[in-house]
Amino acid sequence: MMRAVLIWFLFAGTAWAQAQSRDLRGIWQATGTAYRNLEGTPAQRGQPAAKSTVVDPANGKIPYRPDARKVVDRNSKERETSDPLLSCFQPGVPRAALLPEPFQIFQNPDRVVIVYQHVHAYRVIFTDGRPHYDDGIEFYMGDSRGRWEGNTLVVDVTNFKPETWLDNAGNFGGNKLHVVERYTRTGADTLRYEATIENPEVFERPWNIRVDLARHTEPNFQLLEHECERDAQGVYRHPPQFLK
Amino acid sequence: MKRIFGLLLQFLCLFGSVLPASAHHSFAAEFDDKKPVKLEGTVVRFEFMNPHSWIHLDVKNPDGAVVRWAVETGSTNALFRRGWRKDSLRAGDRITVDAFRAKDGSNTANANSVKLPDGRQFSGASSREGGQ
Amino acid sequence: MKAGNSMKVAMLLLATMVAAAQTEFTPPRLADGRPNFGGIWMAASLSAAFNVEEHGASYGTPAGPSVIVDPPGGKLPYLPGMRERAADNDQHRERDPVGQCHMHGVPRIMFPPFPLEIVQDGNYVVILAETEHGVRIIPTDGRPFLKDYSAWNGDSRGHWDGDTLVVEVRGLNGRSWLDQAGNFMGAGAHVVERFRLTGKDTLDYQATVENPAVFSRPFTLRVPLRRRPADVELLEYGCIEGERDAAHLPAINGEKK
Repeated sequence: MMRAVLIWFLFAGTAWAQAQSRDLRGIWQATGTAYRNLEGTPAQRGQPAAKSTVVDPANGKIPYRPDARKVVDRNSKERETSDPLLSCFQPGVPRAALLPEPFQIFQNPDRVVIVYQHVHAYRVIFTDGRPHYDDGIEFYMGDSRGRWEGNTLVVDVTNFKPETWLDNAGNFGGNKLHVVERYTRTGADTLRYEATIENPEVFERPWNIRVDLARHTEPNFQLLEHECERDAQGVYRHPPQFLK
Repeated sequence: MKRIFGLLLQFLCLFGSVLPASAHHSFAAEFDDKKPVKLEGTVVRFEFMNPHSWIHLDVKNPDGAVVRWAVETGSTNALFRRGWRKDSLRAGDRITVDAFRAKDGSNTANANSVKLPDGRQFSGASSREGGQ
Repeated sequence: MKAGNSMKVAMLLLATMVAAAQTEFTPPRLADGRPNFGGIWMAASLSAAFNVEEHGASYGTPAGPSVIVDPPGGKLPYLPGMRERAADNDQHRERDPVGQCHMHGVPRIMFPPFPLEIVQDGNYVVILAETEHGVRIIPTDGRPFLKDYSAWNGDSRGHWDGDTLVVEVRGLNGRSWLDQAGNFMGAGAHVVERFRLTGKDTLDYQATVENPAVFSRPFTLRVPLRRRPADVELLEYGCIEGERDAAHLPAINGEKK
């Protein structure tokens, strides 16, 4: 009898523990400066150096095809005018998770909803097995379908529009971009975010990034409205200072 | 894909259809329903986007000059739910558009109906149905 | 006498049955006992999006009744001079902030001709609007309002009154219109909304708006929402990227827009 009770407790405890671990709810934000350059940045202007977020390949460099590298170089030179974020486009994936702005995760049995403070972009990630859209429509934030692998939410993202960057430095993924995200709770207030990024038209092979996100624990913390406004010329513009 | 689009177009002809061109904001803000235009031309580019999709059209004037027109149609979301896809209109497609011209007199118009060479027509009268 | 009593009993029974039939709908509930509003919704009639007051048809605009249920008569109770301002907006619809990709504000965000999704999660009710990828995050945990806040969709706080979700909205920036016809609320408006499920696929939505700078008294509008078919999903609606200003935007990734 005692044994049955103990087994029951063990089972219930495991289920409870798993439920806690699959709980991604809350307001999260990337610390650090991955948003500037996924490949890392040297120390500058009083900011310490930032390591590359690219964990594969091991040298921390994005494995671009040579013709794609030229596009990155041009983006980088023109980034103070050409960054799509300056024009208030939605940030795309994975860039949205790395921005210096919070995002909030809500969970229902058949979907996970992520709302980003940045221009109030949001994603509805169905976890009930329904398929992607066909390739006849494209989204800035892509089309997301998720499933659980143990305590990791794995999100498959397709149907991207080409007009997004991966960071402020002009790294980009292109039209046929395919991203697989992995969200894993690593503690009470930490969430590990990993993404596999692939597009045979742009990259020589798939590559992976990893960033740790921190929960906002300030009392009554909430996302604020971040709406884009037109400048004096009537053009949608974020002031460039936003993206320093 | 084209075949599915064609079948859908026939379905829409049978049951009527709506080009919700102005559900995002008021038609009257930009266009003039007293300035109808009929444009026959060749598709240069079809931009499948919100809040409006755009058909860029090369139209030959009676004097032989080719003029580029930008024709506004419904939002991606409204069109997508009716079976349109990003490649539903391709460069080189010859179409006829009945539209209303922009108030500012530019070569911009809001489509009332779009007709393909084989006579199939996608027509609508109002933005009643919005995004659905 | 017996017959008389039986008649009374029968009448009472009948009255009770009729009353029972008119009793409020018992909604499906979440694990915490709250009514489940989750799903995709859209205004049952799209006429309010064009004009919240009674209006005739014009090109691109269907005719429709007023959705103002108070004051009786269905007219917005504008102060002197304010209706003229609305009429001026009507003559300048290019100024409609929605046409410039701004979020609709409250209550206009609840009745555009595009779907809404309601997601409930613990102490939050989230309303996702397809238009302008708009969002309202409504905490129901009793936290205080933000101070000195000014935003398109304002700052919302919800609480439950039985099975009715009551939401108070402050911090609206006053730049939104109420509809495409140029009706407006002005800065300093205060809104109280009531959401209640009235059937499996119907959600009663009411909003009471108060702004002594614009209206002579509060007014209430009512726009029932209807559940969309099960296969409808919200689609991303990137507005800014598609507005005609796109011509001004620089080339992205080397390609001209």
